[in-house]
Amino acid sequence: MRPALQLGVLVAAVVVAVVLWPGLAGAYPQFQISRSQTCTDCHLSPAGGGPLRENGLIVAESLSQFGTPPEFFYGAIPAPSWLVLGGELRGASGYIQSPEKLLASFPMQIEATARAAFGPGLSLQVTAGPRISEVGKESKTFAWSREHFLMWQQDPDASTGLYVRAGRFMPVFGLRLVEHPTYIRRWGGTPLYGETYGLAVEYIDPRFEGHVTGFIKDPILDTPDHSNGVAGLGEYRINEHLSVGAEGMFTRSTDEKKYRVGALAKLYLDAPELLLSFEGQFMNQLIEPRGAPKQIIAYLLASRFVNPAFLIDLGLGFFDENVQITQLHREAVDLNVHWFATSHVEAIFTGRFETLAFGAGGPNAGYALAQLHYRL
Amino acid sequence: MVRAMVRLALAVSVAAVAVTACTQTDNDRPATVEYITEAILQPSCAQDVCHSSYRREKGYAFDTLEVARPSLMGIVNPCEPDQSLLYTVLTRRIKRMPYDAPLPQKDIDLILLWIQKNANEDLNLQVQCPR
Repeated sequence: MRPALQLGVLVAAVVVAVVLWPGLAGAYPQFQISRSQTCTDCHLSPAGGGPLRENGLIVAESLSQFGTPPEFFYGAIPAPSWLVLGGELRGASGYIQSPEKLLASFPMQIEATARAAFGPGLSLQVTAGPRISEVGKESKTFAWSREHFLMWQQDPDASTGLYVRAGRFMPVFGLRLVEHPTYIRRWGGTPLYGETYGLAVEYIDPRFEGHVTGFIKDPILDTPDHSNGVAGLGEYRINEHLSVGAEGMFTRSTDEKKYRVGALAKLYLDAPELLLSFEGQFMNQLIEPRGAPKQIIAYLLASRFVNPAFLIDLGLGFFDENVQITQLHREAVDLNVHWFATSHVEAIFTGRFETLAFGAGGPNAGYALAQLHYRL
Repeated sequence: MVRAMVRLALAVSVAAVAVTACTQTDNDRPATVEYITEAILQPSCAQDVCHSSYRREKGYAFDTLEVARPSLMGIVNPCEPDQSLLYTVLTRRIKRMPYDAPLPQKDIDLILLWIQKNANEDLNLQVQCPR
């Protein structure tokens, strides 16, 4: 079967499966695209993720099954207005087939975050915690700060406007999914622990947003990517149900150059109450002295709330590590079921079925994991 | 307008994939240490917590050519390519690497070809195989 036909069959299967998924009428009303929301409506960072604004706290409470007080430690530790405290704990346990069959349990994230506002629109955000240490430097690297950046915001009382960030963070690129095994993160320029030092200029508006980040190879830690580069992303919300975007990234290391261009889209379908998100990237990698694999990385994600506290994601990933060579593509079907139990506790089932060279008899792999996420 | 844009995007996507499918070749990629490292080992094996310079799981790192060369020197055997540790860990049933998802067979074939033809010179191993 040719890749075009394989891709078409898989896309159709995902869309049909999700549309037919049983659902309740009372879908969560604050679906991002259906309400023209931006990440900054809920989060303090223009990239999304991390500490929540007041609106984010309200959403966390109203979304959860047993709406507990959403503040840091349930509001038991009051903080001054200039200080926001938070943190994340995550762990997972389950079954992995690669194709060897394994049972595994592992911590994923133990991090605390503090964000202090000072001066006219200035703030400092630091996220720190333990991590797997660097070989040979165990005593110095068992803990680290994954993110730390200084931010200037044009209007500190609003969630829109101009932002400038300098420090260590992940460049804004792609759909910005939490799940790092998704192809658009792992091979799409934002891998796990891909944060590095950079300078970002970002503009957020309810109708459009733009992010440009220049970044350098981390001069302190050996990170998975050893490149300097620049990344840009722009997104325009055509109406309350549809947004489109474009992205590009150039990176250069001592061994190679990578050029990425991509497109993004989010479409909210009223009748099935379904959000479709898509990202497709084309990457040209130039390897010295010869070799220039051209890659396609794509992800289609269908998301639906089946109850205010349950979110189901069904995703289809496609990655071709060299489009000029046959049978180097892989496909993945991801299923995530999120249960927002309380304002702080999220239980997630995450499963993946992955094929190599689908239709050509390649091996399969996958996992089924139960994940627990606690937001401090 | 929205429907027209969606149709245009779909048409462009389908055309791109179709053109790609029609111009593919079998496996004529460079069997060089640079290509093996940057196109296969770095993206598949050098995740931060695995064979990165930072973590060096089992002592091996593949995220740059500088660290990949010494790592590869100990796990390739140009005289018996299919007995090389690099090849056997990619093909065995137990503790197969990468542990989260196997490599495509064509990548494994290219690695084996590189061990057979070019690893000795690329890594300056100076191995004399018995005839």
